[in-house]
Amino acid sequence: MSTSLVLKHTIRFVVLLLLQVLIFNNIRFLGYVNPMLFIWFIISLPTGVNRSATLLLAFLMGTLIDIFSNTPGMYACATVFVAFIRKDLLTLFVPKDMYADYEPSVKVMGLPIFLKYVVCMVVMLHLVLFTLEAFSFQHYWLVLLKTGVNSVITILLVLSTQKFK
Amino acid sequence: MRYGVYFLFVFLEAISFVFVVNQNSFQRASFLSSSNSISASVYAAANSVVEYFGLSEANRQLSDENNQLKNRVVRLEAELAQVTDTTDRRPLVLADKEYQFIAANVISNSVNKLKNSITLNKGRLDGIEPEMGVVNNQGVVGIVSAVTAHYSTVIPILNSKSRISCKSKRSGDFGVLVWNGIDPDYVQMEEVPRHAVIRVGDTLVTSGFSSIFPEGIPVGYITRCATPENKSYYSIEAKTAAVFRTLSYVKVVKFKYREELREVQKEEEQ
Repeated sequence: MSTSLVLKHTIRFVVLLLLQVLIFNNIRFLGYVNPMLFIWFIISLPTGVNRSATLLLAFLMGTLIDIFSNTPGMYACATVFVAFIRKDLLTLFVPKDMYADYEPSVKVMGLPIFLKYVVCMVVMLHLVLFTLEAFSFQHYWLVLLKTGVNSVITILLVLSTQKFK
Repeated sequence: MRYGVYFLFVFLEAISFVFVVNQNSFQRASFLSSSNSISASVYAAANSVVEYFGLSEANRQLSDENNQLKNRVVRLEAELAQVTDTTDRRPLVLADKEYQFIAANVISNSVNKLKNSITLNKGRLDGIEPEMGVVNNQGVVGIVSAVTAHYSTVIPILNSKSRISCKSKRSGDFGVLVWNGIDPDYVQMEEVPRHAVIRVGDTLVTSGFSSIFPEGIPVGYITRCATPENKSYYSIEAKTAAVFRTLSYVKVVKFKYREELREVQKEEEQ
């Protein structure tokens, strides 16, 4: 990876972290709206990045958000999980003849494939995250409601970061 | 190392899971909470900007409180004058100051999670310790969970783990205040037996059983109460006295004889 690419993703990491802990985790609308745009960092990480490095970056991102929001282990666990399934989702959706190292985006993959990939990543993230937050099946309807509402908002936010033309 | 990545995955997940399971004990380790100096200073910087937007509301609340306090001073001075005017010139025995208040600023606050938390800009050096109560001029806010030198973390009543003993101000019936995680404006009261006398509109106040809160601080106002069939307890919903969406100034309650009371309670348990 070139230096400028490393720099771009480092800046993205920091900006998404700050946006997440200062804005998205503080939305006071309805009491359960909490989109997770920070996952765009994992979604858009170039596929050339080593799988172990992806897991470690996900763990770092998750742990930092956990520290800010007093939820030890919760974001770390969920982010590492989606970082792990990322490779399999990409092999599942992306045609085999695509070149090896690319940054997942609408521009490279086209909207239908990108959308399938993002929906899977985002829904899995929210599901794991809110299940861990509740940590019991007592609140399960609430978990499903939060997963549904927030997944839609997060997917729209991720799409809003994409160039379509 | 073909399977190295799987080991790494299992290892990282295991670490996070241990953190999730041991939530309480790790929250006490304050370096992992928002009261650690780095994250707290980021919050403090962000708050110094956001604070301006709520300034007019905060101003109004403070001046209201100021007014109330002034009225009280006038009333108490009048009473004092009456007492000292009597022929009997014994030194006036003043009420013991059992509770002191430490004013603090809220630098981060969430209402959209199941386990919400608040970060304050005062810490151990200002006299704050874990398990102290936190109130504002409207009512109860929560309980301090972790402190560092300059910052502290609070578990508000809007946290599915929070359980605060409270009672109806009118009838004195006791119950436990909890939150179901749905609406940050409403909390629930549990364990109130059917024979208790509870009505919509009653004020819920702290019971004063523990050394955390003084007795009689408003917690909420009952908006709905029902006695479901085949249940021996009331189902009660109350609007929170403190407005959590716009929390900015709070007071930490310091009980003077905390250690003493705790020792007595410990002896009792043995």
